[in-house]
Parts: sequence; C-alpha cells; structure tokens
Amino acid sequence: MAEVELTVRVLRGPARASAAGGRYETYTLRADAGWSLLDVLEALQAGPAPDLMYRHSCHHASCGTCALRVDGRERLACLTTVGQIAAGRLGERTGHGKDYRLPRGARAAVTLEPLRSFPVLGDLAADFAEFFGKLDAVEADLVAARGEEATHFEHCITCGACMSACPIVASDLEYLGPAPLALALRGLQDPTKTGSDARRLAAADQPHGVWRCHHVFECTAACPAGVDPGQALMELRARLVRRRLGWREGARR
Amino acid sequence: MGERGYSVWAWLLQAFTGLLLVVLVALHMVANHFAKRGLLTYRDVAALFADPYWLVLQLALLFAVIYHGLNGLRAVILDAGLSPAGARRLDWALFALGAAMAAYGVGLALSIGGWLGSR
Repeated sequence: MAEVELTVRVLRGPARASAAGGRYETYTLRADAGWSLLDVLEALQAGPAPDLMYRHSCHHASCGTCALRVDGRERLACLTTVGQIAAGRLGERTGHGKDYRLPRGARAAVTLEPLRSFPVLGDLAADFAEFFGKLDAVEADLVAARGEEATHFEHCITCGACMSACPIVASDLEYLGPAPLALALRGLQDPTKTGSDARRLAAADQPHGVWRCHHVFECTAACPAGVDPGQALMELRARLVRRRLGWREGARR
Repeated sequence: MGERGYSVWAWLLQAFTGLLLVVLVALHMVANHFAKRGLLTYRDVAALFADPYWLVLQLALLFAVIYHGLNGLRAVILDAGLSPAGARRLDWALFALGAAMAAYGVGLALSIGGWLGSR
C-alpha cells in the first residue's frame, strides 16, 4: 500500500455540553493507505498527542463505539481508511480491501470532530449516557426467554451516527431520535415478544417521539450498518396510526 | 393539545390533506388556467362559485391548504425546542390563525358565489 502524508485537524477540548467550543489542532504524519482512522488516532496518541481522547473497542464495525465526524460526515473510524480519505471517497461505507491507486508521495488532509448533538467527554469522545437512556425508554435491549440480556439481535450497533446526522436531534435534544425509534420498531417485530410493546409504543407516541421526524433521511445516509432508520420511523408511524384507528395488526415480520 | 395522543391525528390529517391537495390543486389549476382561453373575468369566477359542487370543492381546498400549511409551520417551529406550555400556546395560536383564515375564505367564497344574497 502507498504511503500518504496525512494532515489531521482534530477538534479538541475538555468535557463540554456539545462539540462547539473546542479548538482545532493540526498534526501531520506519514500513514499507510491501508490504515484505518483508528490506526491514525493510535499513532497520534503514541506520538504528538498522548492525551488525545477518543472512543473505540472492537476495530471491526461491531461495537459502534468509534463513530465520529470525518470532514463533516458521520463515519466509523474503524471502517474509514487513509486511502479512502486521500482518494476523496468518504461516501463509500469502507475503504478496506480497496486499492485506490494513489500516486507516489500522495498527500491528504482530514478534519475529525466528535459526533454532533452529544455532550463531549473530551476531544473526540462523545458522552453516550443520554443516548443510552433513550434506548432504555424504548426497551431496545431484547431479552431472551431465559431472562438474560441479549443485545445485538439487530443490525443497529448503537454507534450514534444517525443521532449526530439528524437535524431534528440537533434542534430538539429531547427528541428520541432515529436509533431509539428504529429499535422500538425492532422490539415490536421481535418474534419472541419480549419486553413491553405498550411501553415502546408509548415512548414513540409522545411529543418528542416519532412525530417530530421531518423525513430528511440523513439518518439512513449516515448509518454504517444498513439499518435504514428513516424507513423504520415511517413504519412505526403507520403502526401507531393503525393501532389508533383500531385496525388489526398484520402478520409480524 | 400537544400532549401524547394528539400528534397521531395531526400527522394523519397532514398526510390526508397532502393527498387531497394533489387532486384539488390540479382541479383548481385546470379551472383557472386551462378551461377557458385567456384570463377569467370576475363574472367567470362568480359563475364558478355559484355552482354548489365547485363551491364545495373550493372550500375543501381552502381547509386542506390552511391545515396542511399551518401544521407544516407548526412542525418547523417545534424544532426550536419549545417547552410543553410553549407548544400548547403555539397550537392555540395556529388554531386561531387557521380559524380566522378559514372564516375569511368561507365568507369570500359565499359572497362571490352570491350565496349571501348580494354580489
């Protein structure tokens, strides 16, 4: 893989209520085109920015921990490669396994910011406490028949990318948002019928629930897991309408 | 208003009036711009509104436009993150505005059509 001279602009700052108010710091390093952004962040932490804060865990798009904004787009750091950045292909889900045929001595610049609409623990690390509270409100964790918690029955990795991309969440922080509402629908579709459908529907059918959506579908565009939260919201609305009109629910999907 | 259980109807009516507007606006355009060569005169318009079927269609258009427009405005204003009390005040203000617009529109339509006994 080609080596890239990468200039990284990072929005840094201490714990604060939102991403605003930080300051940009710029670092330059030589990075392999096959590196992920997590590799870049680790290199920065090992070198010029030992106190750099960011979230990560699995490194393979399962945990949903490393979401951040890359040149203004919500992305998983683990799926985004240096080659992809240098080739200007951030619209692609991942750069792994691709050869962008970069010229020798390629240079690239990228700006990294924490997710929008989340409090910030520091630098690039978003605070997910409120978001997880919203997931609890819709009983997002499915419970197996034996009683133990069994998460990840669904595609959603609760990375928060959709919450950051959604303009309604940005203006109304009480709005439940795309991921919790999509997971409410997922709960209703759960064939094992665990959890309380009534609680899920009640959470969705409130002033800051599913009715606030403006059909912008930025959530669907931002989702790295192919969940399509926008469509899930529309289906959730249809279910609430059918329920209110007293129509029988069709076969569960 | 603004409490749980209200929004479902607001949205359902928004979708219904949206569909209705596709049909009613198309009829309105045809009657005003294509049914007769050249611009309609006041007498033409009065004759249209004297027809009870046309009057009903135009009143339906009036109510659909007012509801669809004001509820859309409501959705945008709610993005400002109003308090529950603020949202209630907004609902009442928009309701009053819509009622005033509807009353004015109904009065105008009946008057032009000669339904109030004067032309």
